[in-house]
Amino acid sequence: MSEETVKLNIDGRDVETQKGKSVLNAALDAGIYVPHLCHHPDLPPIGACRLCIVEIEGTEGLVPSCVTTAADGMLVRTKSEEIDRMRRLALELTLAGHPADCGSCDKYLNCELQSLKQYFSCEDLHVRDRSKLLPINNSNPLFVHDPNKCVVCGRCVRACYDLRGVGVLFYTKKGRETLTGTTADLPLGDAGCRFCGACAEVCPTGAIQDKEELVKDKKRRHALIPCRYTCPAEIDVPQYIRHIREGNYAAAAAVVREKAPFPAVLGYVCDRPCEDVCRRGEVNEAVSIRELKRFAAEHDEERAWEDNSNKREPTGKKVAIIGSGPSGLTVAYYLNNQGHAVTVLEAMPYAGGMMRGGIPEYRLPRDVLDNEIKDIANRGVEIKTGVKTESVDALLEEGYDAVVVAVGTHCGQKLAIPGADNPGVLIGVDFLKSVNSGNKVVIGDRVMVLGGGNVAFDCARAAVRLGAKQVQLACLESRETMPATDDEIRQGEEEGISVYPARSFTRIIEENGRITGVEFVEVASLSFDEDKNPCIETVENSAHVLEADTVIFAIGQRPEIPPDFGLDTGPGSLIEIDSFTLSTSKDGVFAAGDAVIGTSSVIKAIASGRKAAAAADRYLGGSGIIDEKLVAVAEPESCLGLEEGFASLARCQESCVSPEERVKNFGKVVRDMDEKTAEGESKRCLQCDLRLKITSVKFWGNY
Amino acid sequence: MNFEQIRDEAELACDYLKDDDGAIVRIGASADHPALADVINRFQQDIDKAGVKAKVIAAGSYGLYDLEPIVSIEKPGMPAVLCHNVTPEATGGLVNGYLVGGSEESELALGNVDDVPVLKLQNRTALRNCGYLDPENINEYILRGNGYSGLARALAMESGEVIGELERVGLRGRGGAGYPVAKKWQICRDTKADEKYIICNAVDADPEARTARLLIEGDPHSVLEGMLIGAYAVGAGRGFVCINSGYKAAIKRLEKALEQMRDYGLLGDSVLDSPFTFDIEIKEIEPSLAAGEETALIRTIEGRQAIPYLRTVYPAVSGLVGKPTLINNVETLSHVSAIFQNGTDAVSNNKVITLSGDVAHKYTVEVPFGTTLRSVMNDIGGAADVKTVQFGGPTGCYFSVDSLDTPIDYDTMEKAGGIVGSGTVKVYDASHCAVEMAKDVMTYLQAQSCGKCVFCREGTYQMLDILADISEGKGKPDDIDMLLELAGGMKVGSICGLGRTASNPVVSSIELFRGDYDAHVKEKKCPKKP
Repeated sequence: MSEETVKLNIDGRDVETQKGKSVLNAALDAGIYVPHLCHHPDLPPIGACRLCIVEIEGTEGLVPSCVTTAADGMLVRTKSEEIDRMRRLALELTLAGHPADCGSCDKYLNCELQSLKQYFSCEDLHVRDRSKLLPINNSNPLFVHDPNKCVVCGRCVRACYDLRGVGVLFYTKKGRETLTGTTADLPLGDAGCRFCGACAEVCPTGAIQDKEELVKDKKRRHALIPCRYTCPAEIDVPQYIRHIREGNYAAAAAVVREKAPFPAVLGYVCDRPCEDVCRRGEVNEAVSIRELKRFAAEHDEERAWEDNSNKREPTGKKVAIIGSGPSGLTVAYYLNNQGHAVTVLEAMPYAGGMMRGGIPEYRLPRDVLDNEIKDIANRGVEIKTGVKTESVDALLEEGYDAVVVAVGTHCGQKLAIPGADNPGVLIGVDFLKSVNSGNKVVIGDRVMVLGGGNVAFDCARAAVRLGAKQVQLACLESRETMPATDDEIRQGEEEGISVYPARSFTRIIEENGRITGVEFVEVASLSFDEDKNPCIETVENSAHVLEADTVIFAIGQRPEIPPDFGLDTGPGSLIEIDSFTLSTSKDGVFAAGDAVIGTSSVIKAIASGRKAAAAADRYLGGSGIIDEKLVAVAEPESCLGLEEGFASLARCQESCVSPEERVKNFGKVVRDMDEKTAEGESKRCLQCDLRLKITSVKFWGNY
Repeated sequence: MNFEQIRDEAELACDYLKDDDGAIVRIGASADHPALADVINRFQQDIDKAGVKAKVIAAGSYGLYDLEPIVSIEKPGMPAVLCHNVTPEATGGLVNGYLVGGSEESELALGNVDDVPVLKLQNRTALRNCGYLDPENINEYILRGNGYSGLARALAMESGEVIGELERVGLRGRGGAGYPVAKKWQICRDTKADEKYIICNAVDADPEARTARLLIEGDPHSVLEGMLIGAYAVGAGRGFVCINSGYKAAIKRLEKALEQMRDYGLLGDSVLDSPFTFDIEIKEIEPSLAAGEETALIRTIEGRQAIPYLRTVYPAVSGLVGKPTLINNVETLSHVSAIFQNGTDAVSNNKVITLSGDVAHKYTVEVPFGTTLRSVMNDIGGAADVKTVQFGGPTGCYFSVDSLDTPIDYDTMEKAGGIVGSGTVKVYDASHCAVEMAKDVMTYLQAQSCGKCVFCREGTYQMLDILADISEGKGKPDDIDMLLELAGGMKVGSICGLGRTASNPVVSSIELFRGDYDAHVKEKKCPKKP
């Protein structure tokens, strides 16, 4: 667009605008409201609604200002009796087929047609009104089309063709009524729809909307880009997938690192809440976001993020972080960025917390973890292993200006049922720590793991690899509500683990000091109270015994906090923190990770670490702004193009080593994606973030 | 090949045209005439049997459909004699009687080609060769139709001079609006661009019109030559002929014509050995009123939905894919080639019209400007007991019996509030009621509205509802005011010609036949139904 300006006069006001702009845009930019409906700032004008008509000195008749280019010296009148009469007729004719009741519509108070009705004070029509009696189309994923509300403004047609370069929506007719739709009424997916949502975004009425259940009660960003805003760390998922699609893996990895310092670790073990809400999943299957993240992290040769990472001037402040798990190391990374001197104090002989001690190697290869820990250490973070901290006060006296407690939940629980003290009963986290430290661990032939989460499965699958002949797993939860992730359950069962959901364990049966089995009753229903204690309703006379010689409890963990820390704790012994300052009950002492939020996931621990780092930085006199730009932001291309068969592109198959092979050792289970598969998978993304780049239309009341 | 070389080749190929002792029998009919093939075969057989030297040629249609097959027999040295409605059984009689015998007596005789009344009433310029030559033989066009001499003449001029010639003649476009052709060409020529296009609008959007069909079936080269001249004048390198997808025979003949042109180097690099490069593609169009609009044709060629768009600059400045695009009607282009073939002294002031409705002869004819509707209706169509005539197509105005002396002409029609449009003359006899007529035409127009802009979409919808109510005796006096109000909006607020003119039939029927409306509204009955 040239920088030349033109000067024109609108309603007696001198207005200046860029050469090439329409009279309508010149008026709207100058804050002069001219009613319009088919006009949209991001779409080419078509002059269809006839509401923006104006009088121009020297030109006969009333011209639509949206298609009239502003010229120097133009004299424009936007209001007159004739203009008003014509506009009213146009609006009435537009309302003629439209449902009269605004109150029952989802778009109420968010509808441009309603706004126009108010602007014109147009309630009673002198033209004939009718009900179009067209069927509402609920049959497509993600969007609902209600052609009765369509005002044939053509915005959706233009958004699809001109803005997105796809073009699956056309003007169509059903009987005598005009509406917009696909050729031959094909389902959107078959017609080549990209499900980008541009049509719903630009629709001025309730004709095209998101399906209610997908957006109800959610903040707009959360509903429309669910992957990003469901991620506890709000990683910009669509953007890194875009980089992968363009072959720019370093940029993709950098985008992940903008929010989380462990892209490869997450690529292996994240429980991917994003995929559960991925909108692609409504079309066919969710995008394999975690695998793509892993691919990008493992193909980041340029490490573009490193030079762009924050490195502020040294502040002279010292911070001690207790625990080198994902939350502790995340806090360390950010506080180090902010210029503070960071020392991580780790009790175990290795760094990584549960990432090393809890998650077995077959799920997360050692070297991957070690490299990402090194990335943090190399930036100047001091990590001391084998150092158990007994008192935070001592640290503060030592000269640390702040302390962050990130000790995780390493204290596994046992249920106090008869037989629980038998030496054949193991605590899951201790068992895993031992296995993952490379110690020789002895278990029996028939192992029973009690618990339904990922930790339970880690224990079960480790037991398989240690050579147990039969490994079983029983839990309170039903199969549908088992907290373990689907792929853990699936891979575990493939490896021969028998899963017994909906059981309550009542007794460990011993004979001559040795365990012979576990007694269970069936669970009819299970719920949790406010303190997270289970309320179990059992089935009468359902007691039964399953044989076992080893029992591993994996029913929950608590933080192991030395009594001298003197921090207030709450239910489950979790550290309590102030909801505003995020500080613990001790001044200068913050907390992060599982120790605060309870046993959860690596990503949640990282998110918690970010918050704690910001809070600690503020406490230490910093800005508290830990955000960093690790890669240049490029405006994504709004033109998507027509991709045949887009809706039916199948999710790439997750490739694993065969169960027979993988149970023999602790080698990596998951197979790597190749470049072609990564490109193909990234192409499946609907690019939901493009929708929020569409300019919002200002309603009349805002002029 | 240059023009002389082409002519030489043509002469070699059509030696029968120079024959002093051979006769030529031409059978003129629409391509889909059921008896055409039989008549041709029978003539051939009878001529062989009689041992006479005569060439049998299939020609295009004269547009006089109920007289077809029209056979023209040209004995050497004598004017052609026309016979009408020749059946396969009658061929023998004509061969023996006239070819062998020499007797012009036949109940099928129409007379000398120069004396046939319905042909004398016409001034055939665009249709000059229809029925007169074999449309599938480019050599006939070259030799009998003065073919491509116009192009040769134009290519010898400066391209700007070409436009000057048209300006001197004052040719007006025949597409419906009557826009001065030279002016449009000049605008296109003056617009600088790396690529320009020319589109020949050969779509009979009006279902009763047959202009494009007649011309492309009967004389495609006259149109194509006009296209070439236009392309040369404005600097276009590619041309498109848009034609009804249902005109299968016409499309076949068009394809053949293009093939023959390429063989002669009339298309491709260096047309007629000049630096001018040009080629033509055929685009089949699903015919509808909206699809025939200029802007809709552009959209179809671009591969988009065939719907008009609001153009803020002429297509001649920015059209197909934003490039300068010259769009001319098929009839206009036939005039262009005629002008350059015959010199600008031959002024082309006539219009192709098709008669339809309550007439005896639904002919397609070409009449001089100034011919009155009455003359067309009576002298050519053979109408009786007329109530009204709708001129210009389904969005044309109705003319009352008293105003049938209105001459057919762009300016008089505009003054009368009507359009020339497709030139269709639709006659309604006294058995019709104006309300029913308006309702029928509005049913058609509402279905034809593409639906994009509010006044046309809702206007036609509401008009149809009101007319249906009036027709069923449920109308109110307010309804007439509503019709007129809607018409006002449609006229000034529509994106394309369809919307702008769709209210014409309703408004003019109210003006002329208020009585019929009043009968429906006040007396709740139809004046034409007892």
